[in-house]
Amino acid sequence: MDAVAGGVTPHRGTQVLLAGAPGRLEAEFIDENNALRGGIGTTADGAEATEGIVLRVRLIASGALLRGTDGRGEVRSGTMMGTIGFSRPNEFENTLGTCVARDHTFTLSAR
Amino acid sequence: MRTTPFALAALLLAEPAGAAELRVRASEAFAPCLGPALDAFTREARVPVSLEVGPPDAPSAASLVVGDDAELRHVLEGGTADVRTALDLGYVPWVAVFPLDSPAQSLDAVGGAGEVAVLGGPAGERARESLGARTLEVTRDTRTLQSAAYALVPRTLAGPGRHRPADVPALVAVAAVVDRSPAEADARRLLAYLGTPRAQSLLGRCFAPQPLSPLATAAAPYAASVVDYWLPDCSLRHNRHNDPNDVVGAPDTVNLGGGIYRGMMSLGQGGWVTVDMGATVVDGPGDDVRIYQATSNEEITVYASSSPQGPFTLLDLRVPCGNRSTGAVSNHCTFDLASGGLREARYLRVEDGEIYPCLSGDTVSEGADLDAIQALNFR
Repeated sequence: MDAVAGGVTPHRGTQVLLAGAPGRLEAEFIDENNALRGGIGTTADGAEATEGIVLRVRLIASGALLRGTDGRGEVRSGTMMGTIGFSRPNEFENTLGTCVARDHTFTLSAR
Repeated sequence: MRTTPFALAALLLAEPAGAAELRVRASEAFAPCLGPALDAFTREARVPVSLEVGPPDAPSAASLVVGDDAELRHVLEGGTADVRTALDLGYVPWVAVFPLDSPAQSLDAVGGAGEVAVLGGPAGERARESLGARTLEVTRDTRTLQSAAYALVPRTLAGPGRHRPADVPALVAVAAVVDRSPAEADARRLLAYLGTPRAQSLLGRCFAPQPLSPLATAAAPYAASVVDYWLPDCSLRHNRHNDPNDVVGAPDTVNLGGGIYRGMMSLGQGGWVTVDMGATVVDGPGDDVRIYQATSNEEITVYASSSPQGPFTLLDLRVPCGNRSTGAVSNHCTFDLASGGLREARYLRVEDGEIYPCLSGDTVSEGADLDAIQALNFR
């Protein structure tokens, strides 16, 4: 994924896009007070994970922003509220189920 | 996609040379309810109608589409169909289907992997979410749904077996004319007919009536001022309706045509607005806050606080905001302070719950479209 600055008005933002298929997964965060908070969404096609599972998400994510070993910011333990759906590749519905929760977790770091 | 030539007798009537066929495209859950009304229209107006069963968000050559709010969201918001023609035809509740000899009371405990069938497509999203993280038979094929031993389906698609009401919001059948379609004029005539008492009577044999919404008192206050807001930079650049002050006061959204509105704020991807209600919202009987949202049933998340700086407590997450409102263009949804453990609050934060990727949006009003915020219980 690629992260870029996402404006300063009305609050400073950060945009995170899926590399190679930027429309399929997009996160738009407020980037203030050493924290990220915002929405993560996918299109109906979903985004394929390296594990070979396709995810379709509608999430509000938040997490403290810390300085990584290379000096860049990272979220080591964030929380996501909302819906994560699962399917096999080339399926257009969440045939492997859907998980709705207020305490999904995530990490976000440069590599 | 299947095409049913409804009103076979009517097809024998003379059709003006060169006139385009009036095609209606309806989603699987609603098509079984439309036949008698389309048949009656054909007899009375002498206009043959064919009914296609398929996703209404891809109208193809159809001039009238019939689908649930969730299916027509982008068709209406993007202007493919004329939102000003949108007409509610009725509701279809969900049922859980079990074998007659099954003692089960809930689908949670039955069926192995892939044994529970559930409707696919946008209309089935809430039903699928209700079944949790399990492998499902997700399909729009009506025969598969009707032959499944265990299923969660709109009542119109239920096969034999024992049916139990399901705790999934009923689907609402909305009809709308497709702009610049081959038989647009006849589609408008048909839509007008579907609003007549005669057609409503025929539709009412299959559809359920609109669920009742509690009325707000005349004195119930609306948001008094904006405290803060945030729209992602991407949404600010792509959307047209970005003024947070449009959520202050009573519902006043006006559809100006062509996907352009006045009086609402599109929240973009996960954007939000925080308002001062100008009064204290209190936890009282029923729900305490009503949100007016202009387009279909786009989801809303609401937080509350007694301080403008927070902390804000979540009341409910991604609630479909599509209950019909009396006397307002916008639909609405309601929230209870008690669901967040609060007794009172003065400041409310309303956040987009659609969370659709901004860069993939194709309208100028992406995200939930916020019209007004009202306190139902207050002092």
